[in-house]
Amino acid sequence: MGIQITANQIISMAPDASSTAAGKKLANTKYWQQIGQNADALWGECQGSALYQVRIALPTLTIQCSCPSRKQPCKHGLGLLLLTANTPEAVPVSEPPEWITAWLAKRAAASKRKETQEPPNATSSSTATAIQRKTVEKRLAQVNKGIELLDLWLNDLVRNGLGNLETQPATFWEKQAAQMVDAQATGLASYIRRLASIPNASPNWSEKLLAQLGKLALLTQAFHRMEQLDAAMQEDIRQLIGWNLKEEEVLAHGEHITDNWLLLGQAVEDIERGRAQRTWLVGTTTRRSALLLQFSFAGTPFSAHYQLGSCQKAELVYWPSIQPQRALIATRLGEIEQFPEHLPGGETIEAFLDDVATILARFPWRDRFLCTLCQVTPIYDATSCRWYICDQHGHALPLVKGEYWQLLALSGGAPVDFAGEWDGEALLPLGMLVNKTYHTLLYGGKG
Amino acid sequence: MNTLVTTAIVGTGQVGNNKLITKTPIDTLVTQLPAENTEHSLLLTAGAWAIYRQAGYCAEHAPAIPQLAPVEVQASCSAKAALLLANLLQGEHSEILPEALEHLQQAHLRLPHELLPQALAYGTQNKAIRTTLVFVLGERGRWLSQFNQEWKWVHQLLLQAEKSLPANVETMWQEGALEQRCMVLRNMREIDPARARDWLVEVWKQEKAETRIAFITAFEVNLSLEDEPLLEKALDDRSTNVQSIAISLLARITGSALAQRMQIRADAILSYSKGKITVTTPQTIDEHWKRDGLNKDDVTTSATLQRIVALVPPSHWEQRFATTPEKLVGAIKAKEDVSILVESWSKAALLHHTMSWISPLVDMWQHLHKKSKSDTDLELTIQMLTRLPPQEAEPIIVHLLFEHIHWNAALTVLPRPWSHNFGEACLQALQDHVRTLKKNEAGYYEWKQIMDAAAIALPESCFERALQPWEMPEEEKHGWVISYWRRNVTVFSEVLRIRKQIMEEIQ
Repeated sequence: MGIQITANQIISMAPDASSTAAGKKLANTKYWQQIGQNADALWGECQGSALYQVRIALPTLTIQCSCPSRKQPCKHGLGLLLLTANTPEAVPVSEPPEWITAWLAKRAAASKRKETQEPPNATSSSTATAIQRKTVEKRLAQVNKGIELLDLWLNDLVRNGLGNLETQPATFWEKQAAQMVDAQATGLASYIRRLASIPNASPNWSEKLLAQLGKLALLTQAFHRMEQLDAAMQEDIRQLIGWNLKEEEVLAHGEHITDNWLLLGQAVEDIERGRAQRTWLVGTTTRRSALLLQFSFAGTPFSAHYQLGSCQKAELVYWPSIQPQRALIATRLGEIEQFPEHLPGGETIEAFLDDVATILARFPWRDRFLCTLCQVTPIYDATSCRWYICDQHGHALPLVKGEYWQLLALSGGAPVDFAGEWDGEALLPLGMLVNKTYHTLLYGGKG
Repeated sequence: MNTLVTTAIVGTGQVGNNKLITKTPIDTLVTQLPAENTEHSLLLTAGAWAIYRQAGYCAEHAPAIPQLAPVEVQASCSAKAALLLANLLQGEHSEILPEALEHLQQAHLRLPHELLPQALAYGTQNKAIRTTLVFVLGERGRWLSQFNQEWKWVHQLLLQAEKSLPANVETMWQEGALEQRCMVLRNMREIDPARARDWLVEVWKQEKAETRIAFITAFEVNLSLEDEPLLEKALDDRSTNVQSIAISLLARITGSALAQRMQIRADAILSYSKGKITVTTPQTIDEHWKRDGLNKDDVTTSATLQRIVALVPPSHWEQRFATTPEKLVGAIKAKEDVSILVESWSKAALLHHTMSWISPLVDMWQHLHKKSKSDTDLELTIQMLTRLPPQEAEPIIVHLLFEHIHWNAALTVLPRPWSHNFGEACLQALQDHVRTLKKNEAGYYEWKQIMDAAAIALPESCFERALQPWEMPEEEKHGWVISYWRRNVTVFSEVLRIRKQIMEEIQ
């Protein structure tokens, strides 16, 4: 009974440090009244400038508070969660008040509505279908035109030589990205924006840039020959170019997998006008990996909170793909389960690299892979100032540049189960299972 | 570099239609590409080649795996305690950290592994905490510290604590950084003072003044008459700082030539008869005058007089005049001599650790303070109070505090936690002050400092009373003063609550 979440996991949900501090302060029974919990929710009234009602739906940890704060979650929500995590006895199991039952009923009704919504097109009239078809054709024409321009641009780059790009300002790349946005190929636009960071960033940047330009050329080539490709691969190409799928489309067409999912860790990356958050999962039975992707723009918080380091039985739906990776949680089934004593993963780096090769053979544009390895040792090599993960066979994968003393402090030089994100060059550590406890590594000044 | 890359860097416009060869199976695919669009073909080849290399990534050979960390002997503190400690390490009320770590040490517990990097980083930034921190790191913390250059202080402190020397002690002495060299020199003084002396004699000439200062200071450990030749040499040092350290060290060696010279000079200055001390300013100088740190040009000034008396052990006067410290301190009659002698004797009592003189001198200071106050006197008195056992110092400090608020600095020197009676007295004073706050009252800075000191030093037995609601005047009457103190009381209570939690969690 009760929520199973640690203070660190709650702190990782906070939008900023001042919210964390304020939340910690409010994690004291003296600020609260009408406090309680049951299997579905957690609630309490907090005395601030006024009396605020805090509602938290379990297990999604969706927080709703009657305070006027723009921050999400607000300090009252964080305070109640921290209080529950630190002093569970202070939050008794009780009958929810009316304002909680009404809220839960409203939420249930809303999700029911969503589920029972007819799939698009099913009831639409023939006129609507015609309009839609026209829109689809118009967009396709625009994308086609955009890709033609992109091909010309790519050829020009190679004709004039990549050496010239060293001195190009950021606007050089941005201009091309903007052209892709105009052509409604937003996927290509972000691909080009990522290219802008390559020149001068490393000694062999021209080789790296050529590799990325080459992959981009392969993508446009694949688009031109779409009809020759497997249907699943076509979906991948469309998504890479910028046709985004709506949640209901994913639910309708994606692969559904039910398993006990381990929420292994998270990486947050700055993108154009916002942040992208990647949460990695692995299924204990299917051993399938999954990536939950969230975006936040203009400083808004991410809409969903995931309890990292937890095990949740759930039905996941993958985005249609020849090698499915991105997914969403369709239904959570039951409460949080106990984290297993071992991670589902191989014991050799070689086997992991073989898996990477197999995936690349099926889907060459994949750029990130979940890496779970059992019985590996984190090492710091003082001479090169680099960090590694080493297996029992004397093989090593380098870690992304940074300091990972936590890995060494927790492992003490002994083999552990490890989860990380592999980008083809280095591993970003996500977490580590030591003595039956899973430790998540947090990034962005919190770790 | 591969021709494919060089062609791309220079540009096909310059190099022309180079053969696209990667020397991989990709080359067979390349033959299927149309010949007319060189640029496009080059890009496709580069793309395929990149994926080929990515798929064929080979793992590196692992660097040497370090030795396993030894098994922990002590248990980790509880998860709740770990959370409290993590907050302190993050800088939230870190003033409580020393006490929390001491509790941990007394309970024979250690920090949990996940807190070690944070704790070691904190110790690197905050030198004062290191001596406590080093004992709660556990086996894992000590093991971990060897991997990071910035954490070398752990090893050094442990050696220092064990008063032992590392295996490579000679190398460390000859090649180490100044801090390391000082550490081994000090440890060597503990174990083998003669060898330490030989070390220093050998390098004395070639070291810089600041290094000589650091080294010679280490001679306070196991100081003896055998050190006299080296210290006598230091009297002629070009650096006046080296010279003055040598003077104070020599003065502490009973039977040293300098101690005798100073005594002869002092005997000519002070005389005692019929319960009265008479001060005669020095009239002549001797041949060692300058190298003993005395100024030739102001022989007759009170500064010279003070310098001489401050170096002579106060116990000398007890023997010479056959009377008690209390009587001697009370025997200064001439007004102009009082402050000069009390200051000199205080310095001498501190230098020679003469405990029997501290109380009478502190009493005299109290008396003098009623008339006037100066910062040097304040500092000197506080220094002397730190030499007294807390049970003797506490009543004096309470008395001083009630006399004048600026004595608040004395609070910081008392060992923590305070005694119950002292804690109650301070709490009472604080609560009285807050209850009777007035608009535009002076001394709010000093009162705030008292409150800050009390927050971290009140003993547990005072918590219950301190955490009761505080009586305060109504806010409307005094505006910001009240809200300022309301905030201070809130922070004060918060600190006490955290301390209470820590005491409950770490037992």
